[in-house]
Amino acid sequence: MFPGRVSVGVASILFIVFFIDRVFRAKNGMKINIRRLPALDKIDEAIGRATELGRPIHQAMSYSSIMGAASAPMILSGIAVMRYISTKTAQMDTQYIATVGNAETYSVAEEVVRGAYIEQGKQDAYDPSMVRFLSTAQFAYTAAAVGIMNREKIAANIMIGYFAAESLILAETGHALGAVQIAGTAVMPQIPFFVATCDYTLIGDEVYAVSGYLDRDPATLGTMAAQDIAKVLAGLFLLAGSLAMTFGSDFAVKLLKK
Amino acid sequence: MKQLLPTVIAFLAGFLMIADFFFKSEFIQSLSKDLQGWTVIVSAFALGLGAVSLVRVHARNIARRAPGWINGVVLLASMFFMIVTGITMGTKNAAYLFAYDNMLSPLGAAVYASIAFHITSASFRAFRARNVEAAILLASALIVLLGRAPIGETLAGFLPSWADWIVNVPNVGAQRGIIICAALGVMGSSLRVLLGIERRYLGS
Repeated sequence: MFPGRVSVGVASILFIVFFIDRVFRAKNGMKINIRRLPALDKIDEAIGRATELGRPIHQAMSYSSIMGAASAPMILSGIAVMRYISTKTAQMDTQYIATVGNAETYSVAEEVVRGAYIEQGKQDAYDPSMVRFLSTAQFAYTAAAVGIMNREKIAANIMIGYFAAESLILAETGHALGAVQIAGTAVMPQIPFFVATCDYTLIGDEVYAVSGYLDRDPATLGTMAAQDIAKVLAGLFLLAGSLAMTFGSDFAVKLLKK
Repeated sequence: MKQLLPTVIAFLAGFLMIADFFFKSEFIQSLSKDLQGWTVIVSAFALGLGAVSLVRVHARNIARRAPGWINGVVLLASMFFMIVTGITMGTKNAAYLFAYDNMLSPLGAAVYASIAFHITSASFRAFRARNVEAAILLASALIVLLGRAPIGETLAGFLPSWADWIVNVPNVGAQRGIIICAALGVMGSSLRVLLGIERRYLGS
């Protein structure tokens, strides 16, 4: 084993144990409560508003890859939202546009939206131009997405995933158009931009709770419960480490270096 | 089978990468390196699909003379120009570099520069003291802005140290809390994919 990674390995094994335990318990009927996430509750309202106005709902998937280590989990949450929205837009005959700036993410996104329309028996309503690949260059993607948002006069703008500097440009465009804006990311520098410009924002790990929240699937809820246990343990470890450090013991630092 | 096979591949590939992170093994490292090489091939195929999407959307707009169709003509002409010059003459030839350095780069820089104006308008809305939280945000922002600017120290000597405290203590504390929770969220999300609990990316 690589030196310095033993502590990470032990923590990971511990996490996997909690994970499996909670998934089995949840599948066997354990009730897991999940707190309300207003940003996700308002997605239905945003779709309803777009339907009433007869204007499209836009989802920005940004230019990050679904194969990137940091971006993949956030983009998967965006894909979960995409699946939910496209199912609803298929049911309600609402216009839906997703803009994607990464080829790998695009191929997944197109399959997800097409699958949702087929599942609802609306394959004739599915238009391949609903999911649009724009450019792999960050600001070429941004300029193209802003152009689409303005030309199509979107009624709602959903931005859940991995965003960089384009976040504020997209969100300000949505605000200027008067669109309902729901955003979410765990990318630290972009969170304030979304909070300042969007109506509802998912912050940090809330982004990873999307699939469990939308589906209420027991297995997924179980994994979220395991995450909460790990959070409490991490908090306790931090507290113990801080107290120990205050009183002159660096046991926590030594432990983490193993 | 349509669901099972990709899930098994995701499981095996994922755990191979985890093993590569933890264990010193030439066999695992070589497998992992090969796997990462394959992702380049997958990306190249995916890029082809993206290009087809672009052509499909814009060719249809041009054929229908949809509003703004001329933009589609410019886009397709530019795209084919870059593809043809790049493939036939390489990415170091004068025509390719001219288009890249004198068109794409300045346009990208211009869009990036527009962020300054967006930050101003977003800050104007965010810094309205409508309630206690917003007032605290406004006060903190003013202290940090003035503390970081040379005029701040001239106005009040304590502003730079107050700004440093806000940036280094409450700000870092809150950021680390979010980062730790997000890291656990990433682990949970990754395990859901590896174990086949999360399968939306397969279109299911």
